[in-house]
Amino acid sequence: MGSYTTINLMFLPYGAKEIYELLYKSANYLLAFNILLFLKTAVKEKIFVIFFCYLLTVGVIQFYSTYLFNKRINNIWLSHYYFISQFLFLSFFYYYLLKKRKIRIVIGGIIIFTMVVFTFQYLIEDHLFEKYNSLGIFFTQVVISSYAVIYFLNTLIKEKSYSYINSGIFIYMLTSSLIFAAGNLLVDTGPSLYMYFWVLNAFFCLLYQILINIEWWKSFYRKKTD
Amino acid sequence: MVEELLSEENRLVLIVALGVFLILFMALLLILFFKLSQRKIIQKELEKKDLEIQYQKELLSAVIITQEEERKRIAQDLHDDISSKLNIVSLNSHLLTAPNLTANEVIEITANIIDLTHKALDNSRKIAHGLLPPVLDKFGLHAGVEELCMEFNSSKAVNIDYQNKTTFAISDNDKHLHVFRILQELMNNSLRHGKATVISILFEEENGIKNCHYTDNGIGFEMKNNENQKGLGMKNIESRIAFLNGKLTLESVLNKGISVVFNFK
Repeated sequence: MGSYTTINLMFLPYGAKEIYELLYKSANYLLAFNILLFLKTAVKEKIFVIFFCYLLTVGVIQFYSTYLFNKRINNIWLSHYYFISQFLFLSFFYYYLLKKRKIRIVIGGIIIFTMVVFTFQYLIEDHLFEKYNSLGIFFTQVVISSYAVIYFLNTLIKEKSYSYINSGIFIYMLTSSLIFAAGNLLVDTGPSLYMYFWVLNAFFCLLYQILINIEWWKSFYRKKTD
Repeated sequence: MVEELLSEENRLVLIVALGVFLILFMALLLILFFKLSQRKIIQKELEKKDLEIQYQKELLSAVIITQEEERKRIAQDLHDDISSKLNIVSLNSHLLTAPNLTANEVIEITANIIDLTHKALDNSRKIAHGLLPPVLDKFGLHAGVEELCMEFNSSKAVNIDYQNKTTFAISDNDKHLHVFRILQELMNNSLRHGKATVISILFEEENGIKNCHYTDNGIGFEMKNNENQKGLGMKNIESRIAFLNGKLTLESVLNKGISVVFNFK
C-alpha cells in the first residue's frame, strides 16, 4: 500500500521525509497488529476469515515491497497483485456481509466481469507490469467504495454495523484511488512532487489501519468479556 | 519554456491534491450523514415500539378491568335475584314441615314456593341469556343481533333500524361473538350516555370483508375530547376489533350523534 516505485527519499525536503517514514512505519506496524487481532476473530466469525486473509495478503505484499524498496529494486509490479487481491477479498467480504440476494448476484457478476476484463487486458498489453494499471485501480476501488455505500444503506436500521471498518474502507478506497489512478500521470511530473502524494497516501493508510483497529476493539473485544 | 512546463505540472499536482481532499471531505460528509440518519432511524423505531407496548398494556388492563366488572355484575345478579329468592323458598319449605298446618296454609305456602322458584328460574335464564345469548349461539350473528334489537325496541325508549346485506357462517361464531359484544356495548352507550332515540345498524360485504355501519342520533361527543375515546367501553371495543384484525373509524359531532364503522373478515 505504500511504496511501489523506486522512489528516492532524497527528493523530499527536510522534515517531509521524517513525516513520511513515521506515517509509513506506524501504518505498517498497526497493520501487523491488526492481522494478529483479526486472526483471533476469524476463528469465531466466519465473515472475518475473508477480512483476515485480505489483511494478511496486504501485509505480505507490503512487507515484500518494502524489502524491494530498500534494495532499490523496482516494485511497481507488486501493485497489480495488490489491487487485484484487494478487489477480490473485499468483494467477497461484502458479498457475505450483504445478505440480500439481488445485491449478491450483482457483486458476483461484477467479480466475474472484472476478472474477465483483466485477463484480456493483461494478455493484450505487454508492458502493463512496468507501470500502474490506473484504470483498473480506479475502477476496482470505486466499485468497492460503492459496496461500502450500499452496506451503509443496508445497516441504517441496525445498531451493530461494523461501521468503522466500512468507513475506513470507504475513505481509503476513494482517496487512494485518485492517488493511484493519477500515479502514471504524476510520475512524469518528477519524483519530488509525486513524493508528497506518497506522504498523503501513507497518512490515509494509517487512518485506514486505525479505523480497522478501532472496529476490532468496539466489535470484538467486548464480546469476549461478556 | 521550462518554467511554463513546471508550472503546468505544478497545476496538475495541485488539482490532484485538491481532488484527494475534496474526495476525503465528501466521504466524511457522507459517513456523517449515514451515522446521523442511522441514529435518528433507530430512535424513531424505539419510540414506535414503546408506543406499541404502551398501547398493548392499556388494552390488556382494559380487558382485565372489564372481566372484573363482569364478575361483579354476575355476582350481584346471582346474589340479588336468585339467592334471595331461593332463601325465601327454603324458608317456605321449612314452614311446610311445621305441625298443625291448615289445608289453606299449605296451599298458600306451596303457591308461594312455586311462584318464587318460577321467578328464580326466570332470572337465572335471563342472567345466562345476558352472558351468552342462546340465539346467537344456535342461529348465528344475524339472529342474535335481531333479537338484541328486539329487546332494545321493546323498551320503547329507542327505535332500532337493523339491516343485513350479508350472511354469517355459524362456524365463525367465535369471531361473531365479538361483533355482537361490540354492538351491545355501542347500543348501551348510545342509550345510557348518548340518549339516542334512533339507532341504525347495517352489515354489508365488500371483497370478502364485512363492514358494519353503526349510527345513532344521540348527543355524541367532541372528537377532540380524548376522555370519551379512552373509556373502558371504547378500549374494550378496540381490543375486540384488534382481535378480529379489523379497522375501526369513529366519528362524532356534539349533539349530532355518532357514527362507527368497523370491518372484519
